[in-house]
Amino acid sequence: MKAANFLRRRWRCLAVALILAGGCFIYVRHEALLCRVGRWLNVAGRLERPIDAVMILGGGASTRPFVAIEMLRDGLAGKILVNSTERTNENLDGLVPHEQELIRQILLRSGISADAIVLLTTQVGSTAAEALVVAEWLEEHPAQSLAVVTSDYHTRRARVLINRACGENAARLVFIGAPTDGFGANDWWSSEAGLVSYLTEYLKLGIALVR
Amino acid sequence: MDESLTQNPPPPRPSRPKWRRRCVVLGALLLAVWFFRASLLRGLAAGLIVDDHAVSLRQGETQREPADAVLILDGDRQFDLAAELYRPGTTTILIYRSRPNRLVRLGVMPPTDETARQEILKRGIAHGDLDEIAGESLSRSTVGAALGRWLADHPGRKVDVLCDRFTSRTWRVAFKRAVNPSLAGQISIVPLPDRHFDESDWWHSKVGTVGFLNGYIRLGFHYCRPGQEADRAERTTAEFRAAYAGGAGR
Repeated sequence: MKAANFLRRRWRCLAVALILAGGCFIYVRHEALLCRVGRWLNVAGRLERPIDAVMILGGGASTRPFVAIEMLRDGLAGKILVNSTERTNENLDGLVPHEQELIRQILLRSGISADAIVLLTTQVGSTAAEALVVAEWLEEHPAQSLAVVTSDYHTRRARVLINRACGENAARLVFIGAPTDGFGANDWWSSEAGLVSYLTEYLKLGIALVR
Repeated sequence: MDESLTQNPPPPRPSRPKWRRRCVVLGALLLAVWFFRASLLRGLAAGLIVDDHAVSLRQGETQREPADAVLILDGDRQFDLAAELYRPGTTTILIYRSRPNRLVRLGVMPPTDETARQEILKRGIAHGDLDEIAGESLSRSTVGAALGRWLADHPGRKVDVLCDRFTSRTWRVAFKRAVNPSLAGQISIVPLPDRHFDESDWWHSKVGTVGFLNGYIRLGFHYCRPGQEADRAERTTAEFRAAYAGGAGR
């Protein structure tokens, strides 16, 4: 009985020591760990050769379209597909333009020809819905390749959902991660917007993996 | 000889395993949580909300005295409520102006302060009753500092701040840090519910759940990181190009 108690106490001491050591390690190395946590979400690839079209996923209208614009300017993509996202309260009240129209205006003002802009009609309210639009486009264009532009921290979840929806056609896809204004994988925890984006992204990724 | 004296005492009954008791307690706890889930979820959301108007009404005021100024920050139907709180000639409507972002500079979006001005004028508010406070960025600490400066320039004036319901406590924390404590008492928070959800039903919709989670993340951030938040630097064209060449991110 005494020996059992002694052993139990020793295990408890060991567990407490391990937790304390882990805590110290995290405290000392927290920046490096947080960077890793941030970078893990980014699975974006690079564009090795010209691609037929680039699709801008909904959200992030202040940065994502500008990556697509540069791709077209560099002659790496032929056209830009713009999703039709669900209308927000501000859209309904006429305070800000609908995102699809906003992106169209950004592209036109940046010198992209109207012929190179394709406005998709299916209304999407989530990445899962956008994945179905990508799958449909690849089905309808069997010989064409597509780049999907989204925020860098969103690429892992987008890849999970889109690859799942596209099956074998996913081989014709490349994911491009647009940087976000004000924060990135190396400092996301130091701004309110970064913290919200990365933490909710992990939550959404967990849900996407479980479903 | 008495038979009972010669018999051995009965062996002690093995005590019920601890884990079984723990499971029963846990089960009961989960059942209670499930039974009272609506109240619990409502209570959790209430932690995000500060409503100074409701507090003063609870404290016995039958009707709240109108504030001298109304600052429009965010929240659903903010302009409608600003127009409701407006008293011609006595209420000043404050609009926040910050540095124009990339989309404004490109000419595809009007500046937010310009949109606010148009919406307010559309609702019959006199041009002379509009005033502007300005800051470099949209960070809460910068907005708070701008409001603090306005209060210092207008001694004794009370301001109603219209903001999103689930970020109202975050605004309160930011104001407490950014505004001189002697002036902070002149600020009243008026939280605006979203048309799709509020604290009584946020868990029924995706947008409500996201609003709730974001609300706690924002609040946690401001509780844990006192002081000025860094301005959000904009990305350059070179960084956009690096995105497909494989080198994006900071």
